[in-house]
Amino acid sequence: MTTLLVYREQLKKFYSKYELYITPVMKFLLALLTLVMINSSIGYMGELKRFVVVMVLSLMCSFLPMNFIVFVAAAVTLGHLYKFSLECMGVALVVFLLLFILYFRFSPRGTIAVLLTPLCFILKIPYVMPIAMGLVGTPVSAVSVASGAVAYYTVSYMTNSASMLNTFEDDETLEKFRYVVDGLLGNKAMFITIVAFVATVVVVYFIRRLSVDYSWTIAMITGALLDVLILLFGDLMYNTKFSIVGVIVGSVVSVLLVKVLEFFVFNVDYSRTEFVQFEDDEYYYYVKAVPKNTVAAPQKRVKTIRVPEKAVRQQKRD
Amino acid sequence: MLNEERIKLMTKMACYEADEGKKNVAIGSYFRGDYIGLQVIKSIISGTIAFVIIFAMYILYDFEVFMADIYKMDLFGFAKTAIVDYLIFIASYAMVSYGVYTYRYTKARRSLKNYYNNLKKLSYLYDKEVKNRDYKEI
Repeated sequence: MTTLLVYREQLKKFYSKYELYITPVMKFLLALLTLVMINSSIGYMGELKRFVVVMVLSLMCSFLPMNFIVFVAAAVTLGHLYKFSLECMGVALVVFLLLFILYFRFSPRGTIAVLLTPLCFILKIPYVMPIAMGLVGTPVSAVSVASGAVAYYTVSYMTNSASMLNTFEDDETLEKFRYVVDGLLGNKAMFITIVAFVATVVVVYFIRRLSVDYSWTIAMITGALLDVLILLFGDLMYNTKFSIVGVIVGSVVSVLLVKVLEFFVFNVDYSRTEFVQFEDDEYYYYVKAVPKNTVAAPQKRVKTIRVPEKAVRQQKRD
Repeated sequence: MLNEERIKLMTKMACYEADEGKKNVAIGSYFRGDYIGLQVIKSIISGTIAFVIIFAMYILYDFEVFMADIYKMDLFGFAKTAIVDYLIFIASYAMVSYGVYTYRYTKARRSLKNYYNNLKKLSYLYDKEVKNRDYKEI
């Protein structure tokens, strides 16, 4: 445990020292991961899959605000869907627009959860999101997580029913549109997941605020159990074909992941070096404010002790 | 001469302004009613756009039936239902945004309190410095 704590301190120190470079690199990696995943799951438009395009978009994301990644992800998704079928793109566009107009006006910061939720879905660990958001966010984060789930299910429904959609004739635009809308509104798995995630976020949030020991851990486990329960109940009631083993294993992995995140991310103040500038009547000030590290991580110093060759020779002779 | 105490205070305030204070300072420049009113109006506009989109989807979904029935149906009644739906939707959305923005305004004001105190302190330090300088010059 001590080693871990020391490691965390070192990480913190490292981050506050190189924050200027680490943040863009992280953003770049997130954007790259997002684009690669979108391309691998719905890569219909060849132009968007090209290495150069992916790299340029990711590099742009690395120095633009976080919300730009969400915008790029939405645009790339729509591009692929456009190639796939115009009606699907229309429906997805409407879904994204509604999410954007109705919700993101309130919380532009929540957009990152909307991006991460579908990513976690693709990685088969969507249960991380509600637990993590309940721990670090507010009950309102439930809407972000739900929006992410809606975005994921919308696109995945379209790609899953690709063979069915291809059977429609070109002039059957309205039928195709109706088929997609019906499929989305009748997607019980989506609604059950949303209910489960919203309940999990709220429960985790309220439990972690209780003033009891280990409230965070209790919140995580309770949240995961509630999530599994609601999903399984929903499965029994509506026959949604959730894989029971998948849900349970995914939840266990999620709790472990969130536990790791809690240790390294949530409870640590990665206060960064700040660069500020201001002026008074006489001077311009360009200030670099470096946070003081309260717990000093022991620094390893390797000292090589060289035994004089003469002594070694002497020893051998003896 | 550099006044270390004042520079520390200014740095602290500049950090606040650059980070979390940015939004709060912007909110703090409004009166309560003005801020909430403006945000609710913005919400009403975006809510209207959203309603139009949903309504268009609804019409498009049953487009053929709708076009076939358009001469037979009670257009006045249809419009009435649509308007009532719109009003209910907008009223609930506006109410939610009223709640959210009232909460945000109160929170921002609370956070700014400390900032305003620091401003006062800063101006006090300035005055003191100027007075000292004048005194020395005399």
